[in-house]
Amino acid sequence: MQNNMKLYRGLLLLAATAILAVTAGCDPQGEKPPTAVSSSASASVASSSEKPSSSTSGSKQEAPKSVEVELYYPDATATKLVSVKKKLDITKEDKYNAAVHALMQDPKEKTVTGIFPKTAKLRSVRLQGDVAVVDFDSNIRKGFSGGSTGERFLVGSVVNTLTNFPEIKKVRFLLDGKEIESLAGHMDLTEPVARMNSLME
Amino acid sequence: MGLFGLTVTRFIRAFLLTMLCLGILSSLCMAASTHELTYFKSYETTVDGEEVIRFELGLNRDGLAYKESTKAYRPNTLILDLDDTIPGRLRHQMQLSGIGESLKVQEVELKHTRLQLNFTKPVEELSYRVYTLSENRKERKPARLVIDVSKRGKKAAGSTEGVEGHTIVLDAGHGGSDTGAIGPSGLTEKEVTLAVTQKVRDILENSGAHVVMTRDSDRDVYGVNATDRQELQARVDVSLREPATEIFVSVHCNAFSSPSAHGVETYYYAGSPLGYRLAALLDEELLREGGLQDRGVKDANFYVLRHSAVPASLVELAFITNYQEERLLADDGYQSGLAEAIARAIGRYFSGN
Ligand SMILES: [Zn+2]
Repeated sequence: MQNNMKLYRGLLLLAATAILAVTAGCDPQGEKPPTAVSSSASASVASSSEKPSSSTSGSKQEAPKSVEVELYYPDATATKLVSVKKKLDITKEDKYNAAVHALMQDPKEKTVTGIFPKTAKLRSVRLQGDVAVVDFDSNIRKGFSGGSTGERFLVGSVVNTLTNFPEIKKVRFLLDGKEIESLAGHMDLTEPVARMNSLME
Repeated sequence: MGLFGLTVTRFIRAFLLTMLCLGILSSLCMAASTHELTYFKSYETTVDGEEVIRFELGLNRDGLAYKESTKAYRPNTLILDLDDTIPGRLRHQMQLSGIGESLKVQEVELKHTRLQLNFTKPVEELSYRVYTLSENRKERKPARLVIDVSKRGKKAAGSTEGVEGHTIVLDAGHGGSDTGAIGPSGLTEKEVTLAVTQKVRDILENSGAHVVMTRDSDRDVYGVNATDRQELQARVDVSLREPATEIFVSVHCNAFSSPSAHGVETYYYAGSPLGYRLAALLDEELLREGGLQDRGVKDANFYVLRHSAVPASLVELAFITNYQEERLLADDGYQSGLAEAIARAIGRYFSGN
């Protein structure tokens, strides 16, 4: 039954993709379909960058094109998180989405290592009060190393990077838009996660 | 253009036809590869110097795929699901004598046969092994499915001081549909955690402790399609159902994206001094035994630790994603050493030294 549902869903998805592909091909203007990065209203208000016209600041100044952010990656032996300063392009997405997207790329710096599986995609980061809600697709589970340490460092790199923004105090994790209870079967993720200082020592 | 279009149509037609033929062929092949049970017998024999009672089922061909399971509400029954197998002329219900009481043979779905072997005591308390033997033309023996049950019961294990009369819940991390982490050569976390946990159980029981296992086979504790919370809570529930439970120990293998991460770590839930003490003793004994790097005793918001009603610790034996440590984790002797270390730490926890 479960399998049939999956197959059915898969077929639907396939059909949808095919239709999308066909319609995209037909589009005379060749416009790109909307990107997967979605920002809720609250997130775009919080970011000064996205739409200068709707900015609440009232200033007529050009919005910044980039912002410098501290990203937290694990070191190669997973003993601690190491901060790396990076300039992020925020013309296409807000700084929260840009930060998590950057974290998901394997870093070039030799002192740190990537923890995200390559197939994983970020669906969105949005703010709910002082909680950042980070929504990944389910591929994050498929190629993931797992392990208590792998799980703590993946969660910790996202949480510590985002809680570096003073307006964010905690991070809630979603998978395909749904609340999750754990990522790799060790951590309790039923509640939003506060900054994990133990990973910084 | 017209000609091109025609060629394409022809090609597609040919392609579809080929796929159809392949489909028919493969279904024919599948029909031919169905296994059939040919006989059942049970007898006493010796395997590697150990006396066993053997339950043997004959098969018409090699290559049987089967799945082993038990149900919590029928602890005395070992269930074997045989893929692509028909019961043949085998009797559906057989009364046996000795440790095995009866055998039920059922084609529960088309070409899916289920064996239910009932024992006189819980499967959990038996030392048994299920495996297949290939057809042996020289000895004129067909392909067989074999269940060997040791006559001595649980394998004689070492013993440790200080655990007599205490009740301990042991949790073999992951299992069933959840493999846990996987090493570079394919070793799964769930098989290592089960092997080590069973060895710890044997030592503790041999030393007079009462041990409850969250799982004693390769299975999900809650069920295959469970949410993470259901699965993890089901492990906690095992200790809640046994009011005498004094401690909860969850056994895992660590993993990381880079193979250079290595060493031992043990976890406790912040604010539980007894949990910390248990984790510290486990760390100390595991390090002394295994000789790996000490990554420390850490607190973490792990589900089974947070929701445990008794002092609890989660141990990460070594990194399965590290080449050297994966090899150690796969080694039976190394596993036994780690099991002894865990049992010693539990003994020290209760005896206060
Ligand atoms: Zn684990």
